Amino acid sequence: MKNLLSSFVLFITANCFLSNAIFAQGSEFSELDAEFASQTGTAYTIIFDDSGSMEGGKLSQAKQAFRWWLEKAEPNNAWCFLPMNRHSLDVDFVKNGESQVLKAVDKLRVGGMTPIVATLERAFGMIKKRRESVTPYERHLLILLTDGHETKHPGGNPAVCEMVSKLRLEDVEVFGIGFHGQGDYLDGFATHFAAANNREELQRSLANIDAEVPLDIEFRISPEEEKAMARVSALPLGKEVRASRDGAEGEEGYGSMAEGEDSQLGIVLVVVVGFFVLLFVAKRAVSP
Amino acid sequence: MNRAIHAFLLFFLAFAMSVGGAFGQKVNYSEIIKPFKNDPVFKTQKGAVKPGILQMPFITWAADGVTIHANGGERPNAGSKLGRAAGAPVKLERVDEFDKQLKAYISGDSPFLRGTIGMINLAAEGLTTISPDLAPIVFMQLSWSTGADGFVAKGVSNLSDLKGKTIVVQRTGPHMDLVNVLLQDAGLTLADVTVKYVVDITENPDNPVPGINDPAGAFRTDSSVDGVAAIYPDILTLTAGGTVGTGAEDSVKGAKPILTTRTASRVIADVYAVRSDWFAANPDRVKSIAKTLLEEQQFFRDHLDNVAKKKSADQAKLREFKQLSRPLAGIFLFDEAAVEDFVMWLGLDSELALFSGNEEFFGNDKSPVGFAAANKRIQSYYVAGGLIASQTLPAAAKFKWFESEAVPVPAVAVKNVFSSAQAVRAAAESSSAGTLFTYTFGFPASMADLAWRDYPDVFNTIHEKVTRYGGAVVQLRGHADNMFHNFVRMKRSRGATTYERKVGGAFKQFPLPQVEEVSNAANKLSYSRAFAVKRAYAQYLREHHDLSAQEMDLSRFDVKGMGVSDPKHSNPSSPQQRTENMRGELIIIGVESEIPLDFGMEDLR
Repeated sequence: MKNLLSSFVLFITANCFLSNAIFAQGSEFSELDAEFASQTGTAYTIIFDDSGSMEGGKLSQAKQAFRWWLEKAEPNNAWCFLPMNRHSLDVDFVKNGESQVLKAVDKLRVGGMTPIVATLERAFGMIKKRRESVTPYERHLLILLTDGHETKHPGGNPAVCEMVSKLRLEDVEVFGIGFHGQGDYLDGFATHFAAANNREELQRSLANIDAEVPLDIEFRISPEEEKAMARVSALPLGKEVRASRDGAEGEEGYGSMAEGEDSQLGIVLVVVVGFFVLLFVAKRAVSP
Repeated sequence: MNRAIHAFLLFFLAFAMSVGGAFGQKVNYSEIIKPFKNDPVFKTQKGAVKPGILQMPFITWAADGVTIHANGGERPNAGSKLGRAAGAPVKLERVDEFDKQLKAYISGDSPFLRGTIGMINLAAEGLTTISPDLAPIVFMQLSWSTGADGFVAKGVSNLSDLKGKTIVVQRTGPHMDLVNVLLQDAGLTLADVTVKYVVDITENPDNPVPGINDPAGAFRTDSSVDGVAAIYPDILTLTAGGTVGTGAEDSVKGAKPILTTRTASRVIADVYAVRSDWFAANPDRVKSIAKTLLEEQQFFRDHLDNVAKKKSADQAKLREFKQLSRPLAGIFLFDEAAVEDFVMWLGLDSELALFSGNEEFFGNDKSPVGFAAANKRIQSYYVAGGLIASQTLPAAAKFKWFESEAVPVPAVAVKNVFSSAQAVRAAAESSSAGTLFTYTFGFPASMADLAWRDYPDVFNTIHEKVTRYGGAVVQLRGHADNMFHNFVRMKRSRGATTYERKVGGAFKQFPLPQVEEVSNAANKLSYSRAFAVKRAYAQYLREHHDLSAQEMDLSRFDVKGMGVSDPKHSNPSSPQQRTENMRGELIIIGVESEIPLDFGMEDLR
C-alpha cells in the first residue's frame, strides 16, 4: 500500500509540475494570466475504493499517504473525489480543492461493495458537466484506485473495461492502479495501468507527451502504414479503431477484449462439451 | 441628405409609389465629376460670412436633434443655450443635399458644413482651391452611426465577392466613405467595381425629378445592380426583414444584408466643420458652440442611460425625456407621436460622441479610426479613385476639452458590447454569423509564443479592423498539427505499443503514447496558441497605444482551442503542410442580429 501511494505521489507531483511549467507565461497581465489558468490546468478525478475489502490497516495507510501527497500537490488544478460507497463524501470539481478532498478522505470508512462501473459513470457525468460549464481545455485524469473486482454491475469486469474505453474515447486519461494483485484486468484497457508495487511503470507513464514533433524528426513508417494513416485521418475524431490480436484493424473502441472473449468462449465450450459428456455418461448408465 | 428616419415615415408612401409606378420608371443616375473640385458647385461666388443671424445646417439624423434642442427649435433664438454660445441667434436649417450646403458655405450664407468625415474630405480640395479662407476646420464630432446604414447585395457572400460587381451609392453622401471602407478592407479598389451614383439616400417625394433617385429604388428597378449602400429601413425592406429578399413586397430576390454600421460602428463619423476665415475671427464662439452642443449631448446621454435601466428606470425622468423628444420626432419624423421611434433612433442607431469621444477622435493620433487616421485613409482612397486630384487634409480645431476647468473630466470606461464570454461565443456560433476577415499566425512545432513586435504591421491592421468593426466578435482559434495524432491512432489501431524515430542517424524505439494523451496535449497547445494571439494583442495595446488593462476592450474576444479537429491538411504529407497546420487565427465575425441592444421599444412604453 505504501508503494502504491508513494508512486501515486510521484505521479501527481510530476504531472502538476509539467502541466504548469510548459504553459506558464508570467507577465504583467494578471487578468490574462488568471483567465489562462482558469481554462487550462489539470482536473483530477480520484475514485477511491472504500469497499469492505479495504478493511483493516489498508484504509488508514491509504489516507495517510494520500494526505501527504495532496499537501505537496502544485496549485491551479481542479479536484474531484468520488468514494465508491459513501456518496455523501463526494467532492465535485473544485479548483485548488485539495483541502475539501482531504476532509472527505478523513471521514472515509470502509464497507459495502465495489461498484466500479457506477462510480465511473458518475465521474463521466461530472466531467462532461465541467467541460460544458467551466472549460473544455483542462486535461482530465481519472485515477482509479481499487483492490478488487466489480461486484455490483452484472457485466462484471468487462463492463468496467467498456466504461473505461468510453471515457478514453472522450479524451479522459484513465490511470488504473491496482494493488494486492488485483485490478490487472484493467491492463490494456486503461490509458496506463500499474500495479501498486511497480514504481518504474508508474514513472514511465509520467513522460511528457507532445502533440507535435519537430519537423526534422523522421519516423519509421512502412508504405502499408502510410496507407493506414490516410484511412485513419479520414475517420472522425473519437472514432478509434480497435486493435485485434492479429494486428488487423477492427471496430471502434480501445483495448482488446480478445482474451476475455476467448475465455468466455472457452467456458461456453467447456459447458457444451461437458453437457454432451454428461449426456453420454448418463445414457450409458441407464442403458441396459 | 436624408438619413434613417425619412424612411420610417415615408415607408408606406414609398411602397405605394413603388407598386404603382416603379415598373417602367428609369433610374436617374448622377455622375460625380472627377476630380470633384471641378464640380459646378465650386463655381459658386465666394462671399464673406454674413453678419447677424447665424445660419447653421443640420441633416436628418437623430444626433442633430440635440442641436435643435439646444437652440430651442429651428428658428433663431438669441436666448437659447446655442444662441448665447454663438453670440448671435442661430437659424437651424435642414439641408440634406450636400451640394446645397456647399453653395451656402462658399457664398457666405453659412460658415458651417454639416456632414460626415468622408464628405468633408471629399469637399476639402475644391474648397481650398477656391480659397484657403474656405478650408474646412472640423471642430466637433456629433456621433457615430451604429446601425442606421449598411450594405445590401445579391450573389455576394462576403465583401471580396464584390469584385466586378455594380453597386449604387448616394452621390456625395455618407455612404461614399462607407463603401470605400468596405472595399478597402476587402482588398479591393474603386476600380474593381462599377459604382453608380444617385442623388437621394432613400425615396424622397420632395425630389422634383421624376423616376428613381435612390439606391433601394435602383436595386429594385435595374437588374444590373448587384448591391447598394442604404439606410436601415430600406435594408430591411430589400432583404425581407433582414433575411433574404424574395422579390415580393418591395424586396429584391436574393438580396441580403452584408454589413451595417451596427457591426462597422466606427466608420461613419458625423461632424461639423467651419470656414477657416470665420474660425480665425471667432475661435471662442466656435469653441463655445461646440462646448454647448456637447453639454447638451451629455444631457441626452443621461436620459438614454435612464432608458437603458429598463424596469428600474426613473419613470418621471423617462416621461420628461419623451416630452422633450416630441418636437424632435415632429421635425424629423413629421409626427410627434413617433417619439419612441425617435428615441430608438437616437439611442441605438447612433452613438453620441460626447466630450470623451471628441477627445479620443481628435486627440488620439494613434487611434486607427480617429480624425488623423480617417483623413489619411479617405484621402488616399479618393486619390486612387480619382475623386480628388491630390491630398488636401482637412484641419481640426483640436480643442483640449479636458484642460478646461469648466468641463469635468468624465471617466472613459470601456463599454462591453456583450454581457459575458458565453454570450460572445453564442454570437460567434450563431447561424447568422459571418466571417469578415481572417489573419493567420504560424507557430513552430510544440510552441505557443507570439510577440506583436515580430508583426507590427499586422497588429496595426488588426487593431484598425477590431476598432472599426466595433460590433463584431473577434474569435481566436488555435490549431495543432495532426500528423503525430494520426500516426498514434494508426499505430494503436494496429496494436503497437512502441514506435521508432531517428535519433543521431539511427532509428530508436520509443514507447507509443495513447491517443487521448496526444489529443489532450493538442487541445492545450491549440488553446495556448489562440490565447497567445490575445496576449500579443494586449501587449500591443499596452506598449504601442499606452493603454492600461482597464482601457482595453477585450470583451469581444472569444478564445477557442481547436485541437486537431480542423487541420488545413487532414493527412499532412510534407513539412510544409505540417507547418501550415500549426497556426493561430484571428477571425473577425459579423454577428449583427446577435448584438444586444441597450433597450427596446417596450422599455419606452
